[in-house]
Amino acid sequence: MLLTAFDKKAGPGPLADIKTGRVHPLVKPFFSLACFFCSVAVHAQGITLSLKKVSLETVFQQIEQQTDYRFFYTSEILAGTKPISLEVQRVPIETVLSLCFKDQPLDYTLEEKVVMVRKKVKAATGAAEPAIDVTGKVFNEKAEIISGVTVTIKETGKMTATDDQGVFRLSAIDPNSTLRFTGIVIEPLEVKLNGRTTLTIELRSKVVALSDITVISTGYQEISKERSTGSYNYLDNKLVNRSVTANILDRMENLVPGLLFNRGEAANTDPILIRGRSTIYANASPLIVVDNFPYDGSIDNINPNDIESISVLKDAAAASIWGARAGNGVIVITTKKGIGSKTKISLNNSISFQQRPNLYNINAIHSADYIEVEKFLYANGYYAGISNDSTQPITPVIQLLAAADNGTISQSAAQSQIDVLKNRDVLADLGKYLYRNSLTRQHSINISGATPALNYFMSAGWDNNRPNLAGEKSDRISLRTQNTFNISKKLQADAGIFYVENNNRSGNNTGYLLRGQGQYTISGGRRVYPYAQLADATGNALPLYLDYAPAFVDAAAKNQLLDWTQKPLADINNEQNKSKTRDYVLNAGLRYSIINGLKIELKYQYENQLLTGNDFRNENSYYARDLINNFTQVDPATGKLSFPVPKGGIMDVNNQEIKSQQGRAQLNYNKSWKSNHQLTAIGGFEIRSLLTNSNSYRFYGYNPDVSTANGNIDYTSNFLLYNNYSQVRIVNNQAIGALTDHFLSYYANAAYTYKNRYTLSASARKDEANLFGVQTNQKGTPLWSVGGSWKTSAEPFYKLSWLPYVRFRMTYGSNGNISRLATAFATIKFLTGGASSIPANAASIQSLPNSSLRWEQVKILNLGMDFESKNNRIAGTLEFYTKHATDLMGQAPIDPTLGRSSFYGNVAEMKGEGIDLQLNSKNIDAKFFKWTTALLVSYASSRVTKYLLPVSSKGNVYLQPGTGASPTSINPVEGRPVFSVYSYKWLGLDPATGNPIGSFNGKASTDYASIYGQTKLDSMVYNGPVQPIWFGALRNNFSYNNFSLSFNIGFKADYYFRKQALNYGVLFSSWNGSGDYSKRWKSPGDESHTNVPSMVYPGDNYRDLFYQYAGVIVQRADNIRLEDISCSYDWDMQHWKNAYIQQAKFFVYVSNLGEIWRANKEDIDPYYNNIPKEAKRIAVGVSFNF
Amino acid sequence: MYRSYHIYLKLLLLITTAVSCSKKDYLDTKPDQSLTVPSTIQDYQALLDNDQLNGAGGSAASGLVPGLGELGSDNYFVLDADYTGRLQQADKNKYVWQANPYPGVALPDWNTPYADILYMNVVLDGLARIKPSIDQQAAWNNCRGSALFFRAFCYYQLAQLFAPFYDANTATKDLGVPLRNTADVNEQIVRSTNQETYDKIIAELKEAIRLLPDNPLYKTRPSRPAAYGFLSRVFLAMQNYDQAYLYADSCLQIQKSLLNYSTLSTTALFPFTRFNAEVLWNCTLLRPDPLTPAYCKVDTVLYNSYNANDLRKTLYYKPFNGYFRFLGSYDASAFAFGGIAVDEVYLTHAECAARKNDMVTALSDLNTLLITRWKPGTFIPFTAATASQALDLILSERRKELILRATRWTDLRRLNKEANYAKTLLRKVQGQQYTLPVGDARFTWLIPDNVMSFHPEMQQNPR
Repeated sequence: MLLTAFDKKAGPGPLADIKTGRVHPLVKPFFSLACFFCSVAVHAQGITLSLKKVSLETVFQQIEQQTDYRFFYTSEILAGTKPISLEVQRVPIETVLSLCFKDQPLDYTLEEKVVMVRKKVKAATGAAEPAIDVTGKVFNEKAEIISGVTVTIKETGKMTATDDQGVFRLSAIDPNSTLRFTGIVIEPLEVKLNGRTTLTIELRSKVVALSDITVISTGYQEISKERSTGSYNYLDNKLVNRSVTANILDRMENLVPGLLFNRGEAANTDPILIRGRSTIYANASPLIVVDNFPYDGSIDNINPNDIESISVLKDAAAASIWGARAGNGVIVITTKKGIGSKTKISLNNSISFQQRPNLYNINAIHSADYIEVEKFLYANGYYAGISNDSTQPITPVIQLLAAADNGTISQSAAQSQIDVLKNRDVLADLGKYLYRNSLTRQHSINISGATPALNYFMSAGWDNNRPNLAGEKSDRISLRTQNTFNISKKLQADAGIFYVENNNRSGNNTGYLLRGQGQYTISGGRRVYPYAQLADATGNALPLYLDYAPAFVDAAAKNQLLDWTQKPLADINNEQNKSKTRDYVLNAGLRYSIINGLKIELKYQYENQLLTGNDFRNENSYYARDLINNFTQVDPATGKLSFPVPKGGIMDVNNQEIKSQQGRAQLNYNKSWKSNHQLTAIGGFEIRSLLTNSNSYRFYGYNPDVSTANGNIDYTSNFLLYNNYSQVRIVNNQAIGALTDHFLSYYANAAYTYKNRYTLSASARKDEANLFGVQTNQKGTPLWSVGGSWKTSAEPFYKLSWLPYVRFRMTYGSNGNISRLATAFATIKFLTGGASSIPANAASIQSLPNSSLRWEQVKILNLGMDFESKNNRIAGTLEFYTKHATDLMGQAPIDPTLGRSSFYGNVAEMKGEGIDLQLNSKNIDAKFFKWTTALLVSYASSRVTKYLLPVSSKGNVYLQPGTGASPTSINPVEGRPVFSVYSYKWLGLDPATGNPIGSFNGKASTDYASIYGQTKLDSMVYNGPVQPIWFGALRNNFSYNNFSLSFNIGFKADYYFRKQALNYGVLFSSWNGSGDYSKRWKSPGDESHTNVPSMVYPGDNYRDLFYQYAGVIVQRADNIRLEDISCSYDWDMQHWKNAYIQQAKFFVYVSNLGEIWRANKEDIDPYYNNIPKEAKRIAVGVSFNF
Repeated sequence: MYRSYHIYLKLLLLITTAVSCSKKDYLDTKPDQSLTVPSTIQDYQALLDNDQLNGAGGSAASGLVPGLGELGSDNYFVLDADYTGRLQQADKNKYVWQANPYPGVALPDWNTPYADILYMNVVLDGLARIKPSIDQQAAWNNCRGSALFFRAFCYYQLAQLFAPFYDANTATKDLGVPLRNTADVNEQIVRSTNQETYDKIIAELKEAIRLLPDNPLYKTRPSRPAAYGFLSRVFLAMQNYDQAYLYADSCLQIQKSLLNYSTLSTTALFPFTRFNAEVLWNCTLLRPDPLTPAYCKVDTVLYNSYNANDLRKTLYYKPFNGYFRFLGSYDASAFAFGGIAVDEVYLTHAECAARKNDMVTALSDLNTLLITRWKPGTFIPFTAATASQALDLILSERRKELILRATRWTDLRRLNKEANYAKTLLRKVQGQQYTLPVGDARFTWLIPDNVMSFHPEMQQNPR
């Protein structure tokens, strides 16, 4: 639809229509905003002339018609001018003027919108021509101004550089000079002055290697990488678009040295890290900045197709400008802007496909083996008590065994039924019914362009995702427009709107972790048994008894309770969990040049994100039926039933609104003196407020057809549950909260460059926040950095011709980390109504008093070297850094006698160091065939150096560091990384019994309770870190004519994980266990080929725990994998006549290709340790430029 | 040019002034509306009214009273099948009094009372900074009195488990429990002597008695009679029968009403009501799994010892899969009552009277209590020829009355000191017999490993 509309409107044709229509330039931008799509043609501004041998006056009139420029001249002056011919299309006025006045005896000045025409001052013949003052402006082929271009007078060597408006000035120079323009981003150009005093120069961009990217956005300013002292990485649009994912951050994986994407279990603690972890408990993820401001919404809201480039700020100088939130590095995302004079439309469509995951990656016990275990347990009387208890579920095998013993059926009939079960495989059913192939579609369109008055960009995107898990789907619609209005030469304004709507839906599908979902059953954690069947031969859902015994379910039905059977397959669609995110961002900015080099910038952004979640379980859902049944009250006298939880569906509603406002006022100063001095400085202050309001509630007896619910619920009484075990209140799920974050910051930084060789930089910033429960002087922290760089290759003495570019950099500074959790005073939280058993206000202690609270600080030293070989064959950056973090906040375990088992405060110091290497090489650089390689290698190691609180000497405290999404307790050990793998010393299996042998007090031992309970930390084996120390990627790009192919190989090394261990206690009680059962020790001699202990009954919990955490279970996680392959074909149709499409690109992207090599011999992919393995993902797509 | 500079300068000045004026407000905004730095008496009262402290609200993790004592005592048993198939390893070990029952795991019986003591310390630290006005004095007194009562209660519960039985001869050498005096996390943790532990408990209760009201607003809040009743329990545990008698008497002077069990429904699952007339202060037990109604079966001999006309037999116990389970909690829930009630005070009063050879008071107390426990018209008042016969009767009725009331473990410990009443405890699991002989070191539980691991120098209880 959209596409056809644009086909008609776009294209160069209609542009001619507006030549005559004059619109006031100030009206245009607003008009354009209003018309959004329709006004494409109007924007394509510039001057278009097609004139043959006309008088100068005619030209002036034509220009006046098309623009609001006015010419001042007298007819006398024009007498004697030559008639001229002009053929220009949409060019800036400067270009037209320079063409008009070429070879004329006239001169002109352009001031505001007025062109003053005067006679050229003729120099006396024979004498030296008088010196003139020259000003000029520099553009590239996209009509973008270029700052930092060096302008040299060839004859005298006098130099200057263009400022951030692309303007240069030279005074008192010979009118016949030749100007030479050079710069890192442009091809050199020489221009003869020929007496001209105003110049407009169009320079061609240099095709640059990846390493020497020109301009990096820090979110506060754009800085030239050549003059920066800090550690920056830059991903241009091509790299951003190399992969096809819906999430922008995923596109950075394996492209930035020092940026680690953890996968598998390592991701539980830190999914993304820049240069290792430098905090213990505070959030270690980098700050994400989108278009100058920290982004408060979900990163999933950003459409990657809107992204132009990404900068990664890694060291103190780069990141300290972001102050207290920059301790973990900063990712600065810049969205696309309107550039170039032509209206450009581009369309991007892709479709990704992924097969269902491989469940057989889970090492699960086979049905036949499990039945063997059950028979063994049955013979030992394990189920005697359970089968007495009518509510407890038992598996079909136990039912059959019991029935055969009771004589209900014959032994042989039971055996033959059991034999049938032996061949069933629940993994097959889970894979077949709960998963499906996934399909993701991405469509986006954007329109951009620029006129002298307006740069515009508009985009729309639609993403549709059908994930692997049955019942889930998601949709994302995003709209964005970003415009810059060039109000006057000195004043520019920006305005943008961004809107996204994200819809997600899921059903009741927990995937392979299928388990009972009864909320008031005694023993949770029971998984579906290995021979369970989800559906019959025709696909009809079958009931599973995971929470209650079949007899109990039947009896309940007889007693008029609701049907209590659970059919997981049928239940998927009985829940509709919908969540919707609506996020809009409005931004506005003003830039005003006060005087030459000094600019003031005002920026403001408003963001509003609404999250609504509706989780509806209908009346047929097991969840609702189970809850209603559990609360059913039986009158002991009459047997009459009552239902405190009313029959019907249950609706949970969650609402959250985030409102953020950010404002910034900043002064920018840019100045070059002669050729030797350059100064850039900024200073400003920033204000930021973030309000989060949330509420949630629940409706019982909800009927969606008529939208009614039962409001008459008794939330205060304790009800005895139907299965008679405990007394509980009905959950009201009500919560309401309001959070306010306020920040104030003052900042300044400056960089001074001398002779283009030496640069010094410094920055300072102070952050203050509305921290709670702290003294006023603890609300803020000052942060700073200093740095310097030296372009050695620019020194006169530098002679290495094979290495024409070498530069050294060094920075040092302090970044910070805020913790909003810590307080100096004890704080309490009032509990919401219903949380107390008496009608009085109740409060709980939120945080312990800590009078010595301090801010976290990270001091970072960065040493860098940038180099390029001759012809840019090999270019690279090598960086070394150290990080020293002090006063780190930590949730540390303390003696529970203190009243808490953990405490949050300044507890530790950490040190880390690392190396980042990036090498780009041009291996083959022929005209048609090119081969380039990029190599990234990073080393990042960190360890705790000091720990202030008392440390537990007990080894088992350190076995499960930071498990789960939010680690509640981390146990730092001096000299070790925050997340480390420790294990018990393993001495093999006892050849006589198959018992695992450990070590206690230096001697071989099987006293498992003592080993587990009392082994000291110093007697434990330290295996290594949980997160990789070495990581990197090797990317090869090939191109042949328009065809290009690229593949990326990633590696991660020197880290460890624990494989799943056979735990007999879990095997006996949870219906589920490890496939290692078949490898267990059975008879003497087995110990030579297995490490799996023998089965003992009754189970010994400490024996299981010892084995689970024994050294033999720990595996190396090192691996090399083929990350992705990207192919594309670019079809340049510019030379095709009358083609609407200028460029077309077809691409195929394959990811998740698996490992090439892994260090562990157990054949475990550490990315998928005992979880379903994701299949390959294939994306194909096409993009067009019009 | 100069003029425009001037304008910018003025503008900048204006913005700066505006910002700095509102800056203080801006940075003082509360980040979370529900958070408060406690400063008022109301704030501290709200902390004291937290269900975590009064053990109400039906959460197994809340309460002041550890369940470990009841778990180790002799009023119940667990079926073999539940023992093997259902119980956690640590609970199994505790059930059979294993020498090192909970290696390497946290123990709520230690952590929870100390977590509650933290609340008291925050309250007491805070109240010390408030100078109450005349109309605030009552509220301030109630707060301080409550906090002292709670803290003493916690120390008492800890001492019953982790400190040896109080022996006046050795108490200054025996190790008690760590005492915490402030909320400061940097406070040194050392074991006090048993004498210091009990002195602290008594001193705090005596001060609380001066501060607390006779009639609390809610029965989850301590009161003067509750403090008297509790102090008599403390002295009983110290075998100081004179003091125990006096404080029991002081309690009964204020509050002595008893429930008439014949008015209660025998069919209702929970026959008692919460905050009933006998309850002086309501609180529940932390409930380890073996004590949940699902597993906890009443000792058969104990059950059979109730007279057929004794209403407690039908009100306390309900049949369950061929056995009987206790549902007679004064909390009217599946959670055991761990607070102070008048019936206990009567029994203490009677016991002390008997021990003082005051047989008349002893029997009158006992009969006053028991007549309310029997079917109307069936009760024949107990008689005794000697004070020691009366004591036999009283101790037997004390066990039958105070089921799952967190008193049995202490009673076992103190009665073990008397040859007549000393009892070796016995458990049978899967044919195997476990015993806890009189005077065994295991009558004092081990301090958990996770506490010991922080204090290499701290002395563990002997084994």
